[in-house]
Amino acid sequence: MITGTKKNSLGSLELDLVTNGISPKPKITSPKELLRVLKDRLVAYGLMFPALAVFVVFFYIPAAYLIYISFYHWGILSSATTYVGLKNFDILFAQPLFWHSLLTSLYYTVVMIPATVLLALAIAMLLRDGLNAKRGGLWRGAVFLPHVTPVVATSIVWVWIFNPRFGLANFILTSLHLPALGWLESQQWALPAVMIDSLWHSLGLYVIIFLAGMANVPKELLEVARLDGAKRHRVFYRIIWPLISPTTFFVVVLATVNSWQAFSQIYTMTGGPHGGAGGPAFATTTDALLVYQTAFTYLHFSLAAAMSLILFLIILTLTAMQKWISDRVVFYR
Amino acid sequence: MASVALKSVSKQYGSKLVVEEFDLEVKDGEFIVLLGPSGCGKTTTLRMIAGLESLSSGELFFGEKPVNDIPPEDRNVGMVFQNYALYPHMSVFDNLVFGLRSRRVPKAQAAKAVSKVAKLLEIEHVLTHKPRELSGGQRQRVALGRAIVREPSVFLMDEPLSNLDANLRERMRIELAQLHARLGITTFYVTHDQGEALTLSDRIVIMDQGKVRQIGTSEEVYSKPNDTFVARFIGSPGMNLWNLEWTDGPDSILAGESVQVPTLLRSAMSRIGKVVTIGVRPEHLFLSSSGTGDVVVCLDVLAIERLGSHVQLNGVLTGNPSLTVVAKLDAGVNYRRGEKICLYAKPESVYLFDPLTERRVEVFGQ
Ligand SMILES: Nc1ncnc2c1ncn2[C@@H]1O[C@H](COP(=O)(O)OP(=O)(O)OP(=O)(O)O)[C@@H](O)[C@H]1O
Ligand SMILES: [Mg+2]
Repeated sequence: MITGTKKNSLGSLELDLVTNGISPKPKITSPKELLRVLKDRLVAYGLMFPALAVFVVFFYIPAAYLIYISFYHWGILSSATTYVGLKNFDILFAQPLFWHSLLTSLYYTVVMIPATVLLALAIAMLLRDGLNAKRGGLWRGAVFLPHVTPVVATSIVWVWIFNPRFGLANFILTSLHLPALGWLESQQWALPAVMIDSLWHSLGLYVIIFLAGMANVPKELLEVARLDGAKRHRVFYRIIWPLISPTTFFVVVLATVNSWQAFSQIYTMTGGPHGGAGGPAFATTTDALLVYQTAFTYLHFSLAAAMSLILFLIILTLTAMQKWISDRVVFYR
Repeated sequence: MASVALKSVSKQYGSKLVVEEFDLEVKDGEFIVLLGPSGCGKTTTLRMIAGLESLSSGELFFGEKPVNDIPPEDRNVGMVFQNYALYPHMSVFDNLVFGLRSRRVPKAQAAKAVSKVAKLLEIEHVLTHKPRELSGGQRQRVALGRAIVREPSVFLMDEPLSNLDANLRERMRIELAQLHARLGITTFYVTHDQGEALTLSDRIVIMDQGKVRQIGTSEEVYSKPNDTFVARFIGSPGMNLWNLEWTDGPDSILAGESVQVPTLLRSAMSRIGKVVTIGVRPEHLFLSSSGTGDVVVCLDVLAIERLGSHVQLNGVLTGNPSLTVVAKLDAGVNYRRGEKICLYAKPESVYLFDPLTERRVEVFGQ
């Protein structure tokens, strides 16, 4: 009796697996079976639909439309669109400001990636050693907290910190007998100020990612390395660093994408709400910022679309390059 | 190479005493096996010797030198972990050379040492492979090689054979014994396989719940167990132990209803008290008496296991169904479940224990 029911339940389980698509073509033997299969499919698509709909409506359609209008002359008020071929791109390439924005973005990214990796890794190493300590959780929480605060709100705080006359940043510099800086009012130091804000805001996430990666390095390997006579730094660069390379790669890709797309903190810190974002003298006008201004300040939507497309292609190329490099150096177990 | 001394070494995690007052002096080149059930503190002891775990109290010496405060990288011990812990991203060669290079041995000299060890362990043909491309036995050899290549003064092994299949384990056990004979490095070897312990060890340390129960050669722990724990733990299966109340008769002592003991054990038994623990090893029980004065054990047979070379009889003492009996008899005996039989043992193979302290009482001593 008991074994009989067990067998039955096992049988229907197998059937479920088949109808859920593990076997490419389920065998349908009767109309009843067909109905069952259809019902299962319906449930599957039904469950997928809401997420899929959000993606299609808010991501794929706008993205496709963006590519479309980058080849047209398109205004938000005029209903007529005219095909202009590569003219939008010609205009962009002739614009010094466009090239300048690309360089600014490049500068921002090139500084942010190593800064992110080094700082996040260093903090993660410090936290790792304190993981078993009583307040380990508290420290991790403290490091992660900035990441969950709203960028715009905290960036306003950073504006005060970087105030050249009564800000905390210059107070610290002068206490250390270093020259005070113009920060957001200086062409040279405005972007670094934004970088500091961005690092403060994003490091927590990368630290947590590194901690997760380090947790995957077996404890015995570190112990055996020490027994092998390796000092701390050798254990780090011969054991930990190679073994967390997939994590590092992930962090580099994420930091690249986030840096090229950085917008809110730049916009807020350089006076966006008052209309002067990107200054002083375009020192903080990154690609993303220029896209925004072209579209919503100057209402050249087609140009902005073309610029977005270029931005997309740059990020795609960089990520592909990183993947190509990582396949040759990253160690996967 | 070095002698090692542990002086009342203890380890505590929170309020939990994991290793208690461990005392042991190990001669240079000795092979010590730590044996005990799971969780008794073997690994913890090994890790304290390696320096991976601090001592809660007590002292540890390598030779004359106290090493309590010396970090693991400066202790010059080699350790083989249960899961081998090979560096997965390095080739076998790099795994082997890592320790030498960490200690700044020049490249050429290090390479020479590696190739010598690789030859010794027959892993020369896999030097360029990564650990994941190796078989279990090869990984085990690499782990071994990595530990010995830099000629440690103390060699620690934590159940190094437990991941291997039975045949390979047997073979590696012999190779380990030969390797030790050749290198003569002071070795601590953790296992809960007593076959390994008996064949490999110069001395065995038997532990239970953090306490050392006995230290001795395999011969000693087998034939002179300190207490009932060691008696039950050593041997496969372990010793039969029965708590029985005894009554004195004219030419034999009746313990319980089913065990008869010769009168020459009387003085020892009366030293213990009214109730004694009587111990007989399964392999010391025979079907027929060799003469008068034998111990007689009568039992109800419950199960018969035929194990090829011998037959294992499982039963309970007649009239005492709570006391089990195991006997290892020659193959070819034929008994049925439920049958009542009597077995015999020579008086000198009988052990007496005090049921209160669980310690062994010398039968023929004063
Ligand atoms: N870091 C730790 N924190 C708390 N308790 C621990 C720790 N490490 C080990 N223990 C405890 O110490 C006891 C002994 O552990 P140990 O690993 O030494 O046992 P073992 O004899 O090696 O066992 P096994 O044969 O299963 O490997 C166990 O009860 C274990 O739970
Ligand atoms: Mg263990």
